[in-house]
Amino acid sequence: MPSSRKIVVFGGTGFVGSPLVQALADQGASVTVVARRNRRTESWPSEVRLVTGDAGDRDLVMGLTEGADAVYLMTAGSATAWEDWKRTFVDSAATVADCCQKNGVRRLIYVSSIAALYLGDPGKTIDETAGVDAQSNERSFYARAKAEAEKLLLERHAKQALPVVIVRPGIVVGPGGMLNHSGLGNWASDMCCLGWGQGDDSLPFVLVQDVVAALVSALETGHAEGMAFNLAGDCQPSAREFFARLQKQSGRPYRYYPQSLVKTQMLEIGKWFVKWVARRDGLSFPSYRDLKSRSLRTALDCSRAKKILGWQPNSDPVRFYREALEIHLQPIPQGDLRLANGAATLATTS
Amino acid sequence: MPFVSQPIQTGFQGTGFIADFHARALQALPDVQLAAVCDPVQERAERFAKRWNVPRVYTSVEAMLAGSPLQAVHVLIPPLLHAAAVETCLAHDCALFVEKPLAVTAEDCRRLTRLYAESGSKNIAGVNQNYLSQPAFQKVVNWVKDCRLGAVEHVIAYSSVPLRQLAAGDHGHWMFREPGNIILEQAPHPLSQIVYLLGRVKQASTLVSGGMRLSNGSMFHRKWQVSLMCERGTAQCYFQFGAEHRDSWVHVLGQDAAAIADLRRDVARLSEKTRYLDPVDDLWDASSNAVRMARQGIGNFTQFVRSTVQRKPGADAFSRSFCNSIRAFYAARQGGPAFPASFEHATAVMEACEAVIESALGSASAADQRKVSDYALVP
Repeated sequence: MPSSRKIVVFGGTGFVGSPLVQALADQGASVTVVARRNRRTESWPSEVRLVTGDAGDRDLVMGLTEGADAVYLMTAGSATAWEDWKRTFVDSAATVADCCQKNGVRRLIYVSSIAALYLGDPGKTIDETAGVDAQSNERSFYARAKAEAEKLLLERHAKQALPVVIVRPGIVVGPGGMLNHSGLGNWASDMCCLGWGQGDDSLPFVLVQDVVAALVSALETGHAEGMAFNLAGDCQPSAREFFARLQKQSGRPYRYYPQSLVKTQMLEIGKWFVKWVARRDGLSFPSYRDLKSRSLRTALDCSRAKKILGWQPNSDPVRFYREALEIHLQPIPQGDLRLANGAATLATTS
Repeated sequence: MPFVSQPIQTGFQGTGFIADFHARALQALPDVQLAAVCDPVQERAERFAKRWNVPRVYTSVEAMLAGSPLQAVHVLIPPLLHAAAVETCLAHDCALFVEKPLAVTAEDCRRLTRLYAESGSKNIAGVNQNYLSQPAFQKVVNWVKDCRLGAVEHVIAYSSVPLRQLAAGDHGHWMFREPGNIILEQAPHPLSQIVYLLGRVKQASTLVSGGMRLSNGSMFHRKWQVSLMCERGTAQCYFQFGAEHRDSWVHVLGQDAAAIADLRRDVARLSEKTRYLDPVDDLWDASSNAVRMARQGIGNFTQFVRSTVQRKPGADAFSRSFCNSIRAFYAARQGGPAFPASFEHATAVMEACEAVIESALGSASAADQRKVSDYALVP
């Protein structure tokens, strides 16, 4: 990558954005990070510019993308009403796309999510040519917003040659992330997780450094425009396997409760009913389609990412568990009684 | 011809009050035979041997070790004599089980631990820190080992002990001779549990109150509030000596749950997070612990009734902790789980006692000088 490249990263202070900015800066790019909160990562070089702002602010985006070679759009957020979700994800994507086109930005990389896909069919595999969930309006607002943003950007690509590349990371894990990822299940507390189903299916985990590698490749690779790439690593334990490892190595009572989707749906409807009786604002009826998709029982095909982006995700289980899990755990000191039963294996000589 | 294993031949050094507890515990172990006893008071030794059907009686440990092929020895003599006795026994090829304390100073404990290590003996050596084997505490320990609590971060031990001699004005006992002796006498029980859970005590801070001048001229402090920094966490102890109400609890606060051992009533409870919302979680905690504790209470009562009917003493928690401790020692000797009350552990307990006394009596001595006239003079 030529060191003179100017790159703007919207949402670059998060779990994936922060190491991406680091990687781009390490390669000599001139990086501007735009985030709603002014939270600078300590390891970034001082040349990285941090701007407090919103990807939906047209004037700001227009100014920042002027003269930029590439833009990453990876904003996150949450809201209650669909209008707010739309504003955060879809309208800001339209704004950034407009500004990129007007300023002649050579590549826009949109970081979407596998939530945009429908992954509720067990035994099937979804490849990267399949579009987003055709019934996204029946899904959660987050999944719907991601799907609509993707559709909007691909439509701009088709009609106006917007140089967009879409990347859909799976369950991203690694340093800076968190153990209680919602991809594993619904965390009732820090230690208790209710499974999306029985928890026996392989889950599309991906290490954050592998996502960063794919995002950097997406900047460089020719012929990637107008394409979407799924990112799931080659180590894909099931939720049960992940928890067994977590319990053993942490020496803590992490618990995984497999729970049928029907039961989960009934409970969700019950909660919805209570809120409805209490006249809570912004309520939407629980989507069973969304729940099924959350179970991630459809396998992800990532062959296009591997072929076109030259992406080679980690396939070493030792490295996977080290970065996905052990890095979050406190070492168990020698003499701790938890080591007596051989329940934990991370003993150190602290 | 089928292989018949011979029972372990065990000898007792000392046949005083505590030896009966040991002998009773051994009766429950068919693989162990009490083969010899020694006591400088021959008549007492012979009475004991007759009571427990022991075939050989000696008046010195040297004679006992020379005259009987023993595989294990229990040292059950007064604490001041432990160090010399342990040294003698370490020179022989036998397992060694010492009634607490291992020795009366931490320095002696460290020396004995070093001697044992340097001897290269393959026999195990342990100390009867029977509170580690107290059934309710064992339940808590098993929860810790099963990772139900996560890392143990803090332990609170509470001990309220009536002292018959204090109430009766009988101040001749060793524990009244120096202000710190009461800690050496009573505190090793909770401190052994704290050291087991959290490692060695690195720092102690103690406040004493309820001071009184005894008839022997020595000061006696009835209340000790202790804060401890240990290797793997922190702890607090509250000791009340000469209390009217007997009670003893250990509260273990873990990263993810909390457990309580009520040592007096021999019941344990565990509060851990469930998958449910807090109100349901609280209800579940209350009801599940109610059931758990009721079961334990009923079990304890049933055991008491059964032992009373069968005229077999030893159904109380203290006696059971004794039996459990001795059983664990012999199980470890036979290759079972490691015996927790090693010489190292006993040394750490004595170091903890000394740290408590040292941290208290600095301030206590000063207070003593300042307010000596304020203390009640007990006749």
